[in-house]
Amino acid sequence: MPAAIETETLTRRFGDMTAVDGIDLRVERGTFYGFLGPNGAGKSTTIKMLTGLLAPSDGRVRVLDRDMLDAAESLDAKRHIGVIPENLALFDNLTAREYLTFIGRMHLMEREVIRQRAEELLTLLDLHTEHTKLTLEYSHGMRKKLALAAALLPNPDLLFLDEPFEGVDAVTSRVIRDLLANFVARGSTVFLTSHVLEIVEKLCTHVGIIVKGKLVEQAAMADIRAAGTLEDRFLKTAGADGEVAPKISWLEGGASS
Amino acid sequence: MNTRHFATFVWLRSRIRVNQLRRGGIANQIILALLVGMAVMAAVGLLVGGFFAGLIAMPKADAAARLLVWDGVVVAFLFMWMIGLLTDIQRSDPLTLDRFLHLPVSPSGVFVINYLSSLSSMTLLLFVAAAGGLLVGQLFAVGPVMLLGFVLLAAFVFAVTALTYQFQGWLAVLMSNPRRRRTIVVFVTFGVILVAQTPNLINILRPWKTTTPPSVVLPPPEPISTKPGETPPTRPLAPPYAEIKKEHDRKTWEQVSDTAWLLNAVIPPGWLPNGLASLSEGGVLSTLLGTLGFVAVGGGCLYRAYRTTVKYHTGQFATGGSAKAPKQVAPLPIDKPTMVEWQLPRVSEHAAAVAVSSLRGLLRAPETKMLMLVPVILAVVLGGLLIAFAKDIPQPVRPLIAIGLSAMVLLTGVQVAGNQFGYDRAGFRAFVLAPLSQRDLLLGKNLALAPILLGIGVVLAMLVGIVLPMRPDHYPMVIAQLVSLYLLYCLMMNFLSIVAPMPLAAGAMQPTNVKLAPVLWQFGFMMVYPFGVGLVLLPLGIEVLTQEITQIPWLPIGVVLSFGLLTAVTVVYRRSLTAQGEWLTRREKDILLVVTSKVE
Repeated sequence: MPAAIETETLTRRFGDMTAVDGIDLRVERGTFYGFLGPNGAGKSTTIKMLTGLLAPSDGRVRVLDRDMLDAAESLDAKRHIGVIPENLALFDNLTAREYLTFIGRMHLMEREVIRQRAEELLTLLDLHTEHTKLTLEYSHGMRKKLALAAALLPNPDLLFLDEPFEGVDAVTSRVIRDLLANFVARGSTVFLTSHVLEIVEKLCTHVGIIVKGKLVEQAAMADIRAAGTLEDRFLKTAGADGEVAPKISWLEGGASS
Repeated sequence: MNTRHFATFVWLRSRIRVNQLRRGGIANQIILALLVGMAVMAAVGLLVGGFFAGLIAMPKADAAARLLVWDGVVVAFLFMWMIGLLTDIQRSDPLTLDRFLHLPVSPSGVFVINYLSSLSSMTLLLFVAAAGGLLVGQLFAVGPVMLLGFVLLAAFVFAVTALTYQFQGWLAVLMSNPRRRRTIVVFVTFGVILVAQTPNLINILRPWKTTTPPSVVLPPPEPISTKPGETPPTRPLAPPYAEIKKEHDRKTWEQVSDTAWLLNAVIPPGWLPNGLASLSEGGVLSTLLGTLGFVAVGGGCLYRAYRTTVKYHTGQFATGGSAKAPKQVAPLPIDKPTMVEWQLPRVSEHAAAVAVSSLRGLLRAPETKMLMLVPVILAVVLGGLLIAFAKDIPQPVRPLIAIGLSAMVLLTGVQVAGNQFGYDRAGFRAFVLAPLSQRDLLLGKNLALAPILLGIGVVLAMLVGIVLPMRPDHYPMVIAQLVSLYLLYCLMMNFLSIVAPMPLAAGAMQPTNVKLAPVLWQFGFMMVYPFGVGLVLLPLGIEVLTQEITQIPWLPIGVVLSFGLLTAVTVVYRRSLTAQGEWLTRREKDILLVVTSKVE
C-alpha cells in the first residue's frame, strides 16, 4: 500500500536542543494514525514539519507522495491535505462563514459548493447560529471546531489534527469521532495527536509513540490490544510504567483545618 | 496585605520586567539602559535648571509670568501623561486582580499595590524633577512659605494619578468585551489626539476678538537735499509710535494675565499653577484650597476605582443599561455574494480571495479605523491653514500639497502595511498551509490595503483640489502620481513585512518583544521613502522647469510624464512582486515563527 506520510531521519533542532531526533515515520493510506507522546516530546514540531509549517533541520518528508521540501511539490500536496495546527490558524476579524469562504477559495472551490459545505459543517459542529460573531470572540472549543470545519471543507485525502479533542465538549467530541471514523472508512488518512488515550485506542488503527524527540514505537492497534491496553503500552514505552508516585508526607498527613 | 505580601508583589513586578527585558535580547537591553540613563540625566538637568530658574529668574518676573511658567510645566506634563495613557490602554496589565483573587490576599491590598506601581512613570519622574527644582529654587528665593508648594504638588500628582487609575479601571471593565475593547482604544486615541490639537485649533479659529497692533501713518517724506559727498541724514522713528506700542503691549499683557488667572482658578489642573504663583506673592489661601481640592478629587477617584474594580472582579458589575433581547440575526441572502466572495477583474482567484478576506478583516480592525481617522485629523490640523492661505499658494505648489498629504497618509500606514503578516497573527498559518503562490499572497495584501491607504490618499488629494483649485490637467496628474507612489510604497512594505516581521498580541495594536533589527529596518524605510516620493514628483518638477525655460504656462507636460512614470512603475512592480513572492516562499517559515511567537 502506498504511504500517505513518509519521513527519513527527520530532525529539528532549536539551538542546542533537538526537538525531533531523526525519526523514520511511515503512515499507510487509509489508516487512522495516533501520534502519542508525553508533553514536550516533539509531536507538534513533527506535525509542523509534515505540513510545511516548519522547515526541518535535517531529513526528508514525503506527504501523499510529494516531497514537502520542494516548493512546487509542497504546494501540490497542500491541495490534498487538511490541517488543525497547534494554536490554530484563524483570523481574528472574520466570522466563521467568512473564514470558511476564504479557505474554500484558497482551494479554488466554487462559491455554491463552499456555501453548501460551510453550512453543513457549521450545523454539524453547532456553530451555525453565530452569524456575526468574530473568531476573536469565540471560546477555545468553538475555535477548535471552526478549525476542524476548515480542515474538512476541501474534502482532503489526508487530515493532520493536533489535539483535536482538547477543549471540545462531549457532544461535539462524539460528532467529531464519528465524522473522522467515516472519513477513514472511505479510504482517507488521519494523523492525529492526542493525550486522551481512550479516544486514540477507540479510533486509531495504528499508533506511533515519540519520546524526547525519538520515535520509540510504531505498531498496529490490533497488536497493542493483543498484548494489553494502549495506556500500559504508552506508559511502558514512555518509561513511566515502573514509576511509583513519590510520596509527599505533608500531603498525606491530616487536613490542616 | 502585610509587608511580606507587599515585598512579594514588588518582586513579582520586577521579575516580570526583568524577564521581558531578557527576552528582548542584548541589543534591546543596551538601548533601554541608554534610554534610562538619558532620562535620569534629563531629570537631573531639569532639577538643576528648575532650581536656578526658580532662584534667579522667577523672583524677577511678575506674578502672571510665574503663573504662565507653571502653566507651561503643567500642560507639558499633562500632554506627555496623555500620550503615556494612550500607550497603556493598548497593553494588558500583568497584575490584574483576577489573577490574585483566589489567593489569600485582600483585594484592597492588591489594588493599592497596583496603584502604587502605576506611579513608576518616566513622565512623572521628569515632571517632579522640573517642578521640584523650580520649587526648591523659589524656596530659597521667597522663603519657607514655599514649603506649602510641595504639599500642593504632591496633592496634584495624587489627583492626576488617581483620576488616571480610575479611568483605566473603567476602561478595563468596558473592554472586557474584545470587540468593544478595540473600538474604545480607537476612540480614546482619537480623543487624545483631538484634545492635544485643541491649542492648534483654537489658534486657527481664534474665537476671541483680536486686537490689531497699532499702525502709525507717517507723513510723506520731505525732500532732503544733499550736497555731493555728504551722507543723507537718517529719519528718526516717530516717537509716538514706540509709546503707543508699549501701551498696546501693556494692555494685551493685562488681558492675557487676567484670562490666565481666571482659567487657572476655574480649571482644576490650573489649581497647581494658581496656588504656586499666589504662594510666591504670600497668598496661602489658593494653595490650601487647591490642595484640598486635589485631595478630594484623588481620594474620590481612588475610592470609586476600587469599588468598580472589586465589583467587576467579583461579578457584581453591570456596564449599565437594561438587559437587551438577543439580537435577531438576519438569514444570509441566497444569491447576493458576500464581501469575501467578491471576484476581482483580471486578478487570480487566490489573490482576490486574499484581498477581499484581508480587507474584510482590516475594516474591522482598530488599527485600520485609526488610519481612517487620519484624514479627519489632517483636515483638522491643516484644513484651517490651507483655507486661510489658499489665495497665496501658487499653482505649481498645489499638486505638491495634494501629493504631500497623501504621502503622509501612506507614512501613517507603515505600522499596518510594513508588518502585514504580524497583523495576521495565527492566521498567517492559513496562508502557509494554503495551496497558493506567495506572489498572489503579496498581491492580495497590497490590493487589500489599496481602498484604505490609496483611497484615503485620493480623497485627501481631491479635498485639497477643492480647497485649492488646480489646473484641470493637474487632477489626473496627481492621481497617476499617487498610484505610482502607492505601487512603490507596496514594494517597500512587502520588503519590510518579509524582512522584519513583528509579533503582535491578540487584540493589541503595538508590536511586542520587538528586536533591534526590525526597528532598524523601519528606520531604513524612513530614509528611503522620501526618495520614492521624490521620484513620483519628478514629472511636476520637469513641468515647472520647462515652463520657466519656455515661458509657456499651459504646457501639460506633467500629466503626460506622470502616466509614463506610472507605466514604468507598474512594470517594475509586477516584476519585483514575482521576485518578492519567491523570497517570501523561502522566508515564510521564519516569518511564521516570529508572528506566532508567544507574546504578552
